[in-house]
Parts: sequence; C-alpha cells; structure tokens
Amino acid sequence: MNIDIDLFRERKVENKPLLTSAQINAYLDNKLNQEENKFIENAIGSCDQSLELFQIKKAEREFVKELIPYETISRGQLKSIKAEFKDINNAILFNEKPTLVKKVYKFLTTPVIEF
Amino acid sequence: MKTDELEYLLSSLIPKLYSFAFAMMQEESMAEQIIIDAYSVLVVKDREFIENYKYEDTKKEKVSFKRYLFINLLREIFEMSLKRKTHSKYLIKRNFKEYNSFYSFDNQQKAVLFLKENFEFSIEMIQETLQLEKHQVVENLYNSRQKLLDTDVSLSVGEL
Repeated sequence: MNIDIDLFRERKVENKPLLTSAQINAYLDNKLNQEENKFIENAIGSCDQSLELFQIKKAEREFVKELIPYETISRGQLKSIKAEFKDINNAILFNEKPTLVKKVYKFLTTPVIEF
Repeated sequence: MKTDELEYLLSSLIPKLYSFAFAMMQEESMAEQIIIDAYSVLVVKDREFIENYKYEDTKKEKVSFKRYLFINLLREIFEMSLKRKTHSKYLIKRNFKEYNSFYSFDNQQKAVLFLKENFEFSIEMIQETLQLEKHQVVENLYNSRQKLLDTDVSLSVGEL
C-alpha cells in the first residue's frame, strides 16, 4: 500500500479525516510495513476524526469476531479422533506391508494405458 | 520421523482442526469424521514425505512440521467440506441463533472469515491454505464482514 502524502495534505486542508477507511483496514489487517504503520499511528494520534474512524473500525472488527463460532471439542471426541489417527498411522505410515488402502491408492493413481 | 512424535504434534492440532471443521459442517459427527478423513487422505498423499522427514528435536523443526500438518489438514477439510455440501444439507443441525448469518455463507466465505478472525491468518496464509487467489480472499473477507455487520444491524432495527 502506498501512502500518498499529497492526498494526505489535501485532506488536512479540507478538514477531512486524515486517514481513509481503506488505510485503517490495511493497518488493522497488518498489511503495512513498519514505516507505514508509524505513519498511520501518527495520523491517529494527531487527528480526532481519524481516531474516531479508527475506533469505529476496531469496534466493528470485534463485533464481527463475536458473530463467528468457535466450537470446542469434547474430551470424548478428542479421544476418539486420537485413536483413529493412531489406527491410520499403524495402517498406512511406518508400515512396509501393503495395506488395502495403499493398494486402492496405487490402483487409483496408476495411469490407464490407452491403445 | 517416529510415530509418537507425529501423534504428539497431531494431538495439539486437533482442537483447532475441530473448531474449523465444525464451522464448515455445523454438525459434531460430520466435523469429527471429516478430520479423520482429511488425515487419511494426507498420509496417503504424503506418506513418503512424512516418513522420511528428518525431524530433529529443535523448536524450528517442530514449528515447521507442525505448520505443514496444520495447513494441509485445513486444506483437506475445506476441500472435503465443499464435496460433502449436498450430503450435509440432510443432517439435523444444531440451531445457533447468534451464528445464523455466519452459517448462511457459502463454505469459501466461512473458511476465509474463520481463518482470518479466529486463527489470525494473514491473507497470504489463507491463500496458501485454501488455494485461492489474493483477490478472492480479499473479496470474500470484505463481503462476509460487511454482510455480518449489515445483517446484525438490520435485525436490531427489526427487533425495535
């Protein structure tokens, strides 16, 4: 993201917030380099309208986060998945004997010769 | 790599994989099954790589291999969730009033939003995980965030 200094000065003269929503979003998404981050932080510190916009955008992010589920796993499910993983490891990994799974996989991945 | 080392790494990833799988499938048994299937596919695909991985007990090695497992398992779960979309329509799902808007999204939007907000993935990591173009990640992220905000605001106005 390139920060246009001329546009920044223009906005200051017109008494608009120094920062745009896009710039604040880029900052919140950690998309900026160190220099650009410093620039945004200075603008937030020196312009009340930018600070207000920053607070709105930050609050929106936190609000959105609350609307996204984060389901936790039960002990029983964790135990069951671990046991399944162990079975898969024993059947496929670290096992020199050809298993049914490997045979099926080999069959599926072998190209068919067409005449 | 030894089996116990691999199982130890996998165990630490299961809770996060489950929360992602659940967000995709919205049903406990489907979420559980999709993780198991994703792991089966991964070990069949990358068997030689996993077996021959020169795993040394250093922090860097652990982080690197754990990242490989996590990203690849998330990708398999995501791809399987797309294929099982039709099947999952017929399951009785728990009703989550507060997450209705999220569950109304398609799986691509759900995955992008979930990885960004819950796992704090960068745009590049989401691209790598879901095999999407940058513009697709950015668009999905922006649109789904906006939809969540709009839906919730409209509900609040309606309730008044």
